[in-house]
Amino acid sequence: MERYNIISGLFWIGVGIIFCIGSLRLGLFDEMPQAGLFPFIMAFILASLSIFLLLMNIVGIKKKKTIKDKLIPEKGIFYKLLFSVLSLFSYIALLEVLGFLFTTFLFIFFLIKFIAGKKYFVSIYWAFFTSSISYLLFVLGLNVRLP
Amino acid sequence: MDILNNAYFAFSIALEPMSLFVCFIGVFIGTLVGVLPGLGTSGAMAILLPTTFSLSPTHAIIMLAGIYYGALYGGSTTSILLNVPGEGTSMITCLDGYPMGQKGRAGPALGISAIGSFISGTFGVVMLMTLAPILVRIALKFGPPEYVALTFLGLTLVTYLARGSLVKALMMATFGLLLGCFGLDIITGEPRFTLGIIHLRDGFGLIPVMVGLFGVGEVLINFERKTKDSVIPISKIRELFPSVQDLKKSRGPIIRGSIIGFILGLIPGGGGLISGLFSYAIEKKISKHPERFGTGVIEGVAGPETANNAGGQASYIPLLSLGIPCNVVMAVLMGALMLKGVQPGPLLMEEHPHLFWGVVGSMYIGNIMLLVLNLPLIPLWVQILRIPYAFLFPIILLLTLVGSYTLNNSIWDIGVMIIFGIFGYLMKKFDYEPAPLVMALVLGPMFENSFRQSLIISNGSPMIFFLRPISSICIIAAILLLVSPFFLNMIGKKRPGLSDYE
Repeated sequence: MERYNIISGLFWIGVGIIFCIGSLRLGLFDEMPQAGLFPFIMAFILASLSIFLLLMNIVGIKKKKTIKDKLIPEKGIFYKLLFSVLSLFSYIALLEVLGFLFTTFLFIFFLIKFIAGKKYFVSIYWAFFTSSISYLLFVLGLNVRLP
Repeated sequence: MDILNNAYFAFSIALEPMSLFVCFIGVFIGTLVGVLPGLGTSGAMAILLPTTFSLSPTHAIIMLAGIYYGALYGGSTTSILLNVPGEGTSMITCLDGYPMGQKGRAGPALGISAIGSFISGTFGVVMLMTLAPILVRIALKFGPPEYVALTFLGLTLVTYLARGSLVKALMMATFGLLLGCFGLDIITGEPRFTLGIIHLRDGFGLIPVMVGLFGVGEVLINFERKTKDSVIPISKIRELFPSVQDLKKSRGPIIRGSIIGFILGLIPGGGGLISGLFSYAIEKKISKHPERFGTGVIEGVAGPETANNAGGQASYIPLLSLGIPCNVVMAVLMGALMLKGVQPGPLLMEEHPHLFWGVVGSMYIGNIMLLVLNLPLIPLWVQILRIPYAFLFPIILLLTLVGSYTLNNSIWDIGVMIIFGIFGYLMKKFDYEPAPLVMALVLGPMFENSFRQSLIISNGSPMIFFLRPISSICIIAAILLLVSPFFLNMIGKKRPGLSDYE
């Protein structure tokens, strides 16, 4: 856990420094508070807290482990996560090309067949059922505009 | 007399056919959300928020409010039947509710949970009708320094009561405030941190961020937690209603739970979960047989369930009367109000009385609906629980995608949602809580605006926050809270939190 806190602490120090620099460019105070004052204060606090977190974990003050899971999941779960995220991005790419109904069908089918590992028939059935119901609900029922 | 007039006005709006319909939809969906582990209330509200766009502000908030207290009811069902809290607020109910179920007394446990929640809901609504107008009159005297101080105290309390590391919770709150700085500056109009991206001129949309963190993030982390689909043994239900003896034993816990829950629900960072915890601790403390707690005593269900519902009702008061959400769910509601062009705060009651009193009245109607519907619908919830998660998570993801897209018919919002979904997943892996971030993102613009106005009033002097009584009290209280863990550590005690019951 200390190792993970060190990694995240370094990340947040970087974020804090970047925002501090960005805020200084906006200006802090010139007769009245400028656009950069509030983000500068917040970025400074974030960076300071991150340094504190980093030091706490380097020195080893926190001895009790608080994360039970490994940071990098096992191979099978890692691929599930990766392909689920890729499927979300694919949905964006295809939505305005193929339209809502067909894109949703493909999306649900992919998740149930390849992520959940169900059989083809079940996956096709559930994809058809979900995409139809969602079309009826959102487009016809709630008048939501979808491609 | 005022209270009676207000009550009449409230129920005249709440009993309109459309109000009844959206209230029913809200409590039904809320109970479903509460029953299903893996989909939190705030996530569900954020996901369903775009579907309320065609509704008026009053009806939209009635429906979303219904989801919240419906979820408070629903969460207890899985706690009692499965030993799995459907909602975090129902965690404590597992301690005695599930053992009651194992003894064949799931029905009385569910029954007393519904009855206690109804009584505390009624109490909460009456108190809301009484207290809210008083708080509004006080809040109208607040200036920018008071809002800065109250917001600071509220954010501090939310981070203080968060699970895990206080330092990490503070970092998330600070980052949330930073995220709120993206976009056009509210005073000077110049773009901040937009990187030349035109979509960022309006900042990060609240809904895509919340849906990503709570919706997508939760689904992704659940891939690591979910075991293979299997039928979980569910406690059998023999009779549905508690006996006269059960009702007598529950009388005290219900009364105490209503009061404790209500008071704790008013405090920022409070709400259902803390109220339930305190109620259980108190009932165990004052019981003649504390050793029986955890083995299936009805007092261990009646008290916490009553308190968590009372806390949930009370948490509306700071939002509706002061414009300050005291927990993440209220932050989502605040976001919904702002999207509808309604600014929550002391002027809400005056400028939008229809909305204010409509929501108050519908809470009572919603509690009646839940009492009448929940018990007969238990077999339905039991069947729904049997649906494997493998079929549910694609629906959750689909709802997040559709919900984000329909905000502005823009792919950009879906992209933001996915990015924050990945971020939410990583937050959980590195043990950071999303609640302080979301609260800060909602409150950030108001906080910054009040902060800068205060400095303008004082010609740049920060002493303005310490020279005004309400402001100085709030800031000093917040600072004491922040430093208290160090002192507690020195004397060998720890910051009170949820880990005591894990």
